[in-house]
Amino acid sequence: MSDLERTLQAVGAELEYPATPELAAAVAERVQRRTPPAVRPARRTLAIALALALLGAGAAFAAAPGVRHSVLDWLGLRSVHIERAPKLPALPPGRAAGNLGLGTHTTLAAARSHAGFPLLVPARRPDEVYLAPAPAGKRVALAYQPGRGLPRAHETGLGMLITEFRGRQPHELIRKTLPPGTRARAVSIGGDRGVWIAGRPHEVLYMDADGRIDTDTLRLAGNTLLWSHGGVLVRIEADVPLRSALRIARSMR
Amino acid sequence: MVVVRPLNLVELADGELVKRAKRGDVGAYEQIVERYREPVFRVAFLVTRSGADAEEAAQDAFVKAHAALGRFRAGAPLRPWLMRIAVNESRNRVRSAARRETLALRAAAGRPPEDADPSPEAALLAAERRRELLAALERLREEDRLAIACRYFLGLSEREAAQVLGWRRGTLKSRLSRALGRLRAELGEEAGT
Repeated sequence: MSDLERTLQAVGAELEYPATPELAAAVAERVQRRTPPAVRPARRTLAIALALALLGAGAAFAAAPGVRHSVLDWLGLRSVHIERAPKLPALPPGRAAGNLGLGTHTTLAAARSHAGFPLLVPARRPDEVYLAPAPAGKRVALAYQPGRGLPRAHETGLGMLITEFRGRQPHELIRKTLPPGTRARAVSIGGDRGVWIAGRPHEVLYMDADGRIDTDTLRLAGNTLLWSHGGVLVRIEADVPLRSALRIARSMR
Repeated sequence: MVVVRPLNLVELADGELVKRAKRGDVGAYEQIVERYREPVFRVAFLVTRSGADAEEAAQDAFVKAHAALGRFRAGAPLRPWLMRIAVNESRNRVRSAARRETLALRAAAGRPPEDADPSPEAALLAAERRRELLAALERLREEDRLAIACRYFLGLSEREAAQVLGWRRGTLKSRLSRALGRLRAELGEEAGT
C-alpha cells in the first residue's frame, strides 16, 4: 500500500460523520405497515420469551443451541439468556426497594449465614439487605440508597442494587431481553467472565422455584454488570458507567 | 486486568435473522437494522454529503431491502448488499438536490499527535496535508470519489467496494487507480510514490 493510500485511510478514520441516527424503530414501523396483521412481532417475541422461560432452560437450549453454547458458555453465564426484542412490556410505575419483590428485610450477617453460598459484598456496605427463596438456596439483594456517586436509578428508585444467587442451570434461568439501543459487552472481572449491559432499560424475567415466571419481579433494569463467580450469579444494577461498576465489582469480597 | 471488547451477545447470525425476517418477524429485521445502521448511514453520507439526506436514504434503503429480502441470496454477505441499496438510494437524492456539504475532519484531528512517530509515514499524516487531500478529493468526479470513499474511508475490501458500488471488480480497480493518480497530481506528487 502506498503512502497516499495510508494517508487516505488515516483521513477516513478522522472523518467527521454526523451521529448515526436510530433507524430501527422507524424502519420497523414502516415495514410493519406493509406486513400482514397476522404477524405481531413485538408480542410474539415476548410470548416466545415467556414460553421458553416457562419451559425452562432445556427449552432455551433447544431453541437456540448454537447461541447458548457459543456465547453463554464462553461467558460462563449458563443461567443467563439474553435476547433482543423490539419492544418491552409496560410495567407498573417505579417501585421502591420495599416493593421491588426483593424478599424479606434482613441483616448482612443473617444473609451471609442463610445464603447457602459465600456472599460477595462491596467495600461500601449496603443500606438494606433482603433475602428471598431461590431454587438453589437463597437470593440475596443488597440495596443502596442514592447518593455518594450513585445516582437514583429510574427503574428501581435505588442508587444501586446488587443481587446474588446460586445460578445453576437448569434450575434457575434469568432472561434478559434487550431492546434496540441497548448494548452488551463482554467484560472480565478478576478472571471471571461477565457482561455489561448499558443503554436503554432492559427487561429482567425471573423463573421461580416451580418454573413459573414471577410477575411480581418482572421489572426493567438499567445499566447492569452481570457475572458468575464460583457458581454464584452476581448482578450489579446502577446508573453508573462501566468503569465505576467494575470498581465496585472488584471491591467485592 | 479488565478486558473489555465488543461482543455480539446472543445475536443471531445474519442468515438466521434474514430467514426470520422473511417469515415476517419484524423484530429480527429490526436487529439487522440495528446491526448495520452505521455502515449504511455512513456510505449514504459519503454519497449525499448531507446528514438529513443520508438519514432518509438509509431509512428508505432498509425499507426497500426488507421488501427485497426474497431476492437476497442465502449465505451472501448482508452488509455490502444493504450498503449497495443505500448507495442507489443516495445517488437518486444527489441528482435531485442542490447544495452539498464538504467532508470535514474531526476537530481533534487538526492537532498533530505530540508523541508522533517521526517516520515519513507519520509525517504524511499532518493535519494540513489531510485537509488538502480532502479538498483535492472534492475536485474528483463522483465515481472516483466514491471508489476512494468505499475503499479507504469505509475500509471495504476491493471485492466489497465493487459490490457496494455495483461495479465489476476490474472497474473498481481501474477507477481507484485513476482516482489515486489524479489525487497525486492535485497534490503535486510524482506518480507511483
